[in-house]
Amino acid sequence: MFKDEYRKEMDQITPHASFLQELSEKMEQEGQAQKQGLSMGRGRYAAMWGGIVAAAALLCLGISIFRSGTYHTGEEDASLMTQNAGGIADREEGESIFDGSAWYGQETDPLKIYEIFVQKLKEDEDLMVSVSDTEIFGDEDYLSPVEAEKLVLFLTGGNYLGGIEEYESLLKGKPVYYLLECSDGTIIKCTVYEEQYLCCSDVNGVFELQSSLKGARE
Amino acid sequence: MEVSIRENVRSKVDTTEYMTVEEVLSKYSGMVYRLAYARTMNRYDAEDITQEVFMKYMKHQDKLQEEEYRKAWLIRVTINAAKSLLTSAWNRKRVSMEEVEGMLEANAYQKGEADSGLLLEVAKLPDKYRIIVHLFYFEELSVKEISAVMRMKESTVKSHLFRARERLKKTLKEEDFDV
Repeated sequence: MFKDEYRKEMDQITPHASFLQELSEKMEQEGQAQKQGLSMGRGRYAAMWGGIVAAAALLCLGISIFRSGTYHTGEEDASLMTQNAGGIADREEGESIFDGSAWYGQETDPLKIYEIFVQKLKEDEDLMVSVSDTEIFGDEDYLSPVEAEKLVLFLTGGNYLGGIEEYESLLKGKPVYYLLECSDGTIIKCTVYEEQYLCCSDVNGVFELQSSLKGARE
Repeated sequence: MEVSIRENVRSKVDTTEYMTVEEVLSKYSGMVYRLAYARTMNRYDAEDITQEVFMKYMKHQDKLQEEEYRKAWLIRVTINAAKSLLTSAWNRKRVSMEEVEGMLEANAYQKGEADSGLLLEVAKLPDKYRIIVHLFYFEELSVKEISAVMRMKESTVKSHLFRARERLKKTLKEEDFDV
């Protein structure tokens, strides 16, 4: 399995012990420097405010302002942390887009699954469509919204033909591959042969649909 | 009312995990280093990035006492540091695929790794796919988590994973890619 092999190979990629030792020392030094800096900083503030005779109230005010200023330092980082932590905290156990059986839920009829796709494509206003001459999608261009709309009209206006393997002998011309990315995360891979087209014949596409629909129900 | 406030305070304290420098390094250095490596495919760059990330951590550690914050922050900062390093490196020198392969082979040789064929194929993926593949397959983050940490839409994460997988399927043996 790819996952196991990848993990096995990446497990061998580890930082060298001497590098970690050196880094640990640098971090300790940085920690010490921060403590000393903080201590000196406080001393300077105390001296400054202590020099003012009628400063008891003012000193409190000064410290208050100082602490308030310190608190807000790195506000962006805090915001980032909150956003990121939200993602981790909301983790859904067992979610994996490449798990699952071949078809959506209990549905095994390709035509019914195709109908689900069609409905989804019709309703999605932020659909992104990319096109490729080969089965491998990479950094190809996305279709413009107008072109994407035309493709959806074409796809949703016809009839479902079936799986490529089943109808291979009937298919003519060089296939063109479309990847339709719905705003809810559903990804549909579609292969078009001249005027005929096949939808939901790609196993991975069906996996994607399973995953996102399951997520939507939850 | 007083009880509920106490409970609140207690639960807040319970989610906080104070860690020493050694503990932080022991727990996260591997994660940060591998993530940096997955992005740069170079051990020396990965070390530079790891150092930068943990020195930054020292500056912000007071705000990073909660486990979930800490991990998410480290991942995000590692990705940013790698991006920044690669951007500057790009201006200095464009690294060809042959050079990447050479680096990987040299790394494998240094480590005595017998077979880095799979990593080599992963290295050939575009950067944006590679980092997501790593977070998904190695760190086992969910699509939702990757989306949060990469600041991408979940659909974009899924499409990147899909495309990365399609590419890998073409280059790796079928049995290596059984999921």
